[in-house]
Amino acid sequence: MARKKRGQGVVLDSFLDIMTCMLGVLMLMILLTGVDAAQIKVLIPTPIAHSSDKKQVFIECREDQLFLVPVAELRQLAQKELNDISQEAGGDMTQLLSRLAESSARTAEYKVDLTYALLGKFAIVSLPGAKGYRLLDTSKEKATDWYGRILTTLDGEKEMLTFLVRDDSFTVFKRARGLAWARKIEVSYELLDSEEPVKFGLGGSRSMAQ
Amino acid sequence: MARKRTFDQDLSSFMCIILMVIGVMCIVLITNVVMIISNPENIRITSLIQSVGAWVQGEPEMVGAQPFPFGNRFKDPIYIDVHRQHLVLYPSEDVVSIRDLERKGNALELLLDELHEKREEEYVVLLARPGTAAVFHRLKKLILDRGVDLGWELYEADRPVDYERAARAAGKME
Repeated sequence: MARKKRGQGVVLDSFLDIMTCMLGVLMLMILLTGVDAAQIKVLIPTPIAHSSDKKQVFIECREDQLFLVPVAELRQLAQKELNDISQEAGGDMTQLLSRLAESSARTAEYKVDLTYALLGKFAIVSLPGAKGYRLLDTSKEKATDWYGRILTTLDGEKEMLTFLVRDDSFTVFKRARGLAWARKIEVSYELLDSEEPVKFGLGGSRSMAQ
Repeated sequence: MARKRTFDQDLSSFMCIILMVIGVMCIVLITNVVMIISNPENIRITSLIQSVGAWVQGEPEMVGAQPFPFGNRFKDPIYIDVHRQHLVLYPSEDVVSIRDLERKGNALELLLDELHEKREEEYVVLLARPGTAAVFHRLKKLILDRGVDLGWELYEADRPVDYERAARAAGKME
């Protein structure tokens, strides 16, 4: 009697069907994932500057510290001072000029240089020795911290941050900008020389957002 | 009498092939999935400036940094490296001294003329180094007056400009 060959009884047809189906499913999945992986969007990160109507909140970056520039408050102080000076001078130009140079419109960090008022400008000078905010670690910045509070209270729809960056403070500026951008807040920035006053008014232009 | 047809083919070798193909496909699938997971936003950065964070000497720029949220995806950047005494124009790497800017037909003027023609496809990125505020503001005005779009980045004094890397990523260079 012929011996039955070993293994001949195993029917692989149904297993082969399963395998073929699996192959088909895998091909489809590869196709889908391949299309997704290949569709690479090209991002050129440096934003194009554009004009923005949003209200600007000014932050100065100097000595690797951040200072909030109270523009409205300084304007009010300067206006009051100018009114007082013009009343006291009573039309005497020499007295007016000397009083403008001795202006005392100031806050803890800034003073207004009223001599620029004659040129139709409003100039703010940083006071030496003022203590600002040191933003050392962006990951540790909380909503209750100085800069975190500014970011959380800022209305991104209506307001934007404008950084006035001095030569020595690129690092702190980039940290602050990174946090603002992470919160999708528009930012503009201007480079200023180390001793240059911040000037507003005639001859200037609105800082463009990026 | 009709003979009954039978298929007694040995399919085990075909099975081996199928199994191998499935194995290869699994590897391809895993590779695709890993690619998608590692870059969920499908972003390839083609810019010289790759992060919003501060530059740290000796560290690769992309580590832990996020791309610009308001980044431009439509125009190609033309970089101008602004130094106190001179400008470096990329990709030609022409050096133009500040004094030369007053000369008619200087390299910057030629570049801006060229850019004006291609202003729908290209824009200028100024890399402002420390101590260049006055030059930087003049350049900004000059470029905007020509109707060319502009972006700028404050660039640390000793930070190198690795233009080739950006050009390669953008497919402008092999």
